[in-house]
Amino acid sequence: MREALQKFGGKLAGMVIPNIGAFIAWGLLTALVIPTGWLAELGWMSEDTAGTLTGNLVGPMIKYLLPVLIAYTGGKMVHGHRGGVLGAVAVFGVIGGAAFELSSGATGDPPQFLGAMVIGPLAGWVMRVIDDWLEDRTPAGFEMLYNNFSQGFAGLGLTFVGYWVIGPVMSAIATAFGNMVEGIADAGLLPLADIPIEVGKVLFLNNAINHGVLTPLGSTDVAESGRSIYFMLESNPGPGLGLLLAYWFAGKGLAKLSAPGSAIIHFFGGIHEVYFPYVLMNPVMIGAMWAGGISADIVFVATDAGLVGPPSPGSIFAYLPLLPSGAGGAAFGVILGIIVGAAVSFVVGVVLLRLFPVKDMKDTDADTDIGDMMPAIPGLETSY
Amino acid sequence: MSEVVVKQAGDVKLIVLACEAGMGSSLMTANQLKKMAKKAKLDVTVIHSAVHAIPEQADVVLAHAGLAKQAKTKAPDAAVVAFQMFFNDPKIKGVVEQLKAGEPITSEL
Repeated sequence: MREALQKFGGKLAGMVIPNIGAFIAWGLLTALVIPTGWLAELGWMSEDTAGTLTGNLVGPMIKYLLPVLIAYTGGKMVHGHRGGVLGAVAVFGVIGGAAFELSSGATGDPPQFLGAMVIGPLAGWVMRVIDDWLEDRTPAGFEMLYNNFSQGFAGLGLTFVGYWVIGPVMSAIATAFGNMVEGIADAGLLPLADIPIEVGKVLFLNNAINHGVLTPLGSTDVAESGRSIYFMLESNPGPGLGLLLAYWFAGKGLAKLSAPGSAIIHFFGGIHEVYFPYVLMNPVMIGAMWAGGISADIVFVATDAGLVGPPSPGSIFAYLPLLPSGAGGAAFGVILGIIVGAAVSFVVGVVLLRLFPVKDMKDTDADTDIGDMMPAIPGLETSY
Repeated sequence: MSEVVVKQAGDVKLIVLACEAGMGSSLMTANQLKKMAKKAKLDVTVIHSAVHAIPEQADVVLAHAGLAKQAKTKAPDAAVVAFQMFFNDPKIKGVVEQLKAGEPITSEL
């Protein structure tokens, strides 16, 4: 079951991850040029110019560029460049065919990330089926003609399918999902989302959750308000830092010695996987992650904090350029949430480690002495 | 029931470090392994990869225990070795030492 989830989530994330740079570029652009963005707030750009740039650049990029990249990547995953091209074409049908209205009255022409994730691989599959069928039926010398026109007609057909079928279905799903998420957020329950997120993370579903679900959700948010909390729910480096510092302070053996190096890699390098073993080896420690994550999310919600793009990797260095502008304490809220997350997970982590001490990490050597443990500290010279 | 894959030390040419996305921890751990292999003067290529994109020619695949099953599914002919910690886990060190001593690598899955 976990494997199936990992595979599915991995496919979703696999359509987004290779394009993360584009999401970040768009996020940075948005942060700078929208009317509530940095340049306008600092008075270096007029509201008019900001509006024009937003309409000409920010809007089209998220409406077209990002879904097209996702759909192309999805199609490519299934049937290479040919599948990718068909996916890129077909997604325009989906983009054209989906607009919705939420029960809150918010209407949207939301970026079709989910639609792209559906039609991309679908187009790849269609192209593969067509190519397989045509393979033995193509007369010599007609390959190029068949190739080009099979793709052309497939593109036409899939665009209509996207427009008349998939678009409206995506719209219905987006409406339902959007209502649900708005409901959760309005009820102030968003911080509780940390519970499944932290579990998912240590089961290596972190990328699936972050880039398969939260990044598309967040990008839609950013288009409306210039920042989004969704980019932080999985990527916040605070709680993991607290956990690792707790091991350094109150842990034992290999875990204690390797914790500081891991903490640096986690917090500054943004490779969260380094903390997963520390939870897996002593599962009760997920309590520290929950405490830290939920506290941080509460701070984020309370300060209306958000980032302008997906921080990838989840490093403090990736957070800083993506801080939102103006709007009172939003940027401050991000930093505060990170600090609170780290502090709470540290305190809870120390308590848990004292109550439920970890057995020393199993080593293949029967006798482990300090000399054997030294190499576990990254950065120290190993003597091989 | 498929049999357990055993790779003779001389046959190991490509070692793959696999992680979920293929960008973060696998790259980091692959670089560690590269340094270790260089110091041990092993004649192997070490690369990193997403677990869903492990190349067919992989002889040995190293992955965190949580991903080992997926790695095995993607690379049934490779010897899969699972580690627990991303830094100097004894398993990672062990693969280098075994290859240096000319010992075969047995797949754990």
